[in-house]
Amino acid sequence: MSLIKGREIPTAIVAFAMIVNLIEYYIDIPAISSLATLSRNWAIVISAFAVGIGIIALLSPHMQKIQRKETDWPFSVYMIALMIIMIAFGLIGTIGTNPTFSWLYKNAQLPIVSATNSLLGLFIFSAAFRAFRARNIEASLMLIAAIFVMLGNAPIGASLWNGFPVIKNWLYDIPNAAGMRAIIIGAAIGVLIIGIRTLFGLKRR
Amino acid sequence: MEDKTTQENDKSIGEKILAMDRRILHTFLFILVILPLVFPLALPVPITDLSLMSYDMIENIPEDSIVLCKFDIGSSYFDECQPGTIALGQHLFNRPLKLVFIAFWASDAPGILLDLTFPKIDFHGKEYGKDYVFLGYVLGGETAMAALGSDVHSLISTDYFGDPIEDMPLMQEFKSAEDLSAIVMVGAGDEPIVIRQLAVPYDLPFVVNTMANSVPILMPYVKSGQIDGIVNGLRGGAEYELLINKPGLALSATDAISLTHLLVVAVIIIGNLAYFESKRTRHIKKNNLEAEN
Repeated sequence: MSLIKGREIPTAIVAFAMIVNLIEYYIDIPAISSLATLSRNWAIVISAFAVGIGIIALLSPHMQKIQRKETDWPFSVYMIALMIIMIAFGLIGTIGTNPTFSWLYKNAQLPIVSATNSLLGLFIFSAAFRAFRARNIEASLMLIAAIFVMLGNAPIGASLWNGFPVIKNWLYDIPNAAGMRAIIIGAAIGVLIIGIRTLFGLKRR
Repeated sequence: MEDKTTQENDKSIGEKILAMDRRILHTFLFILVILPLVFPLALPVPITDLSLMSYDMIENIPEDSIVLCKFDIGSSYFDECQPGTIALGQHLFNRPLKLVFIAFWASDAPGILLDLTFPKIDFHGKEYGKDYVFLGYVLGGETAMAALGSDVHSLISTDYFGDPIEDMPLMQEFKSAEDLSAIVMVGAGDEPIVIRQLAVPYDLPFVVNTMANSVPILMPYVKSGQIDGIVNGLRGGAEYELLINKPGLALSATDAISLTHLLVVAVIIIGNLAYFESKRTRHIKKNNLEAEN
């Protein structure tokens, strides 16, 4: 009973999948390749179940909100109704090719997402006006870099002064690339450590 | 009421500018987006190195090669990446290549591609199953990409329309990533996954069409040669339309991009001038008060 409730079995499954895929990446052994392919297929099937769990996780708080008639509960009804409609039409016929589903996606969902992204642009614009202040040296440097990058990225920038794209490229290639490289390597080391800890079933102190 | 009016009159120009209703700013932005669409200015669009590199990579793919087109165009970046996707897709179909379309990230990509992207591309009479195949969305993310790299047919048995892929001449040639000659991707966020699962292990040239705010993040990969070219959002799409000589939506939007960028820079400069002016005014008022006391 303690074996089922404990972490040993999940850790063993994860360790098996990790070791098999790690060996397969570096050494070409047909038996290991078959096991690695099998483990990847399992992972893909589990991902499919995760989508279902995601739907349940989305429905659960909204259903509670409707039951308790909390603030803005009609919007939860609206959301669930739209979800059911899209799922229903998406499942009719060959999945995802139903004309009504396509129409709803193209004429309702896509424009709504575009409008939401446009709102984001507006807020970023007004935030740039209010937040980009040269209060100290670091803020000033960031401000100057931002202006050069914006003018370098704008198609008209090169027409105003051909130095804008040159400076923008320098900023992208040197300080930005250096900083991003450090972040990428740092993140990769972090993932490696987490992988090793998972492989050996080590618990966080 | 009188105190409020007095207070308003006592505000310096800088303070008044800083207190400006943001809807005025939004109105300016709206005008500069709409105006060039109605009255095109035809401002110049220089072609950047990243777009040229992308174009050259696709131009240099050997004839009859198989190219993996990971067109993960989702609703959240549809507006920015769609013109570039059409231009890239048109370039791929212009060349004598075999194309395998697939998505791993955006589950709505197949619908967008079939309904909104492919109708705008001239397929030059290419035959489905022989010259191009549409595999649709495959669940599994990075795991699915790794599985595709090692054995395609263990991952997918049918195309998006439910037809078995083993009967398709193109899929009989495409068994694993070893059979690919290049990867062309549309998407945002999973470029490193493509690099570590497909581009680097199988030594494949890799071009990506992504949002403009993802480009700085990808620069280390460009510098190290793991990404061979980037189509930089809407502006990159416009450049690519010029390169393939098929002007489209992106090119018509470049005037708006130019003007709004200039507006943002102007607004930032004005905001800072107003900030320093209001700071100076407050300092003077404070000194005056201290002198009176």
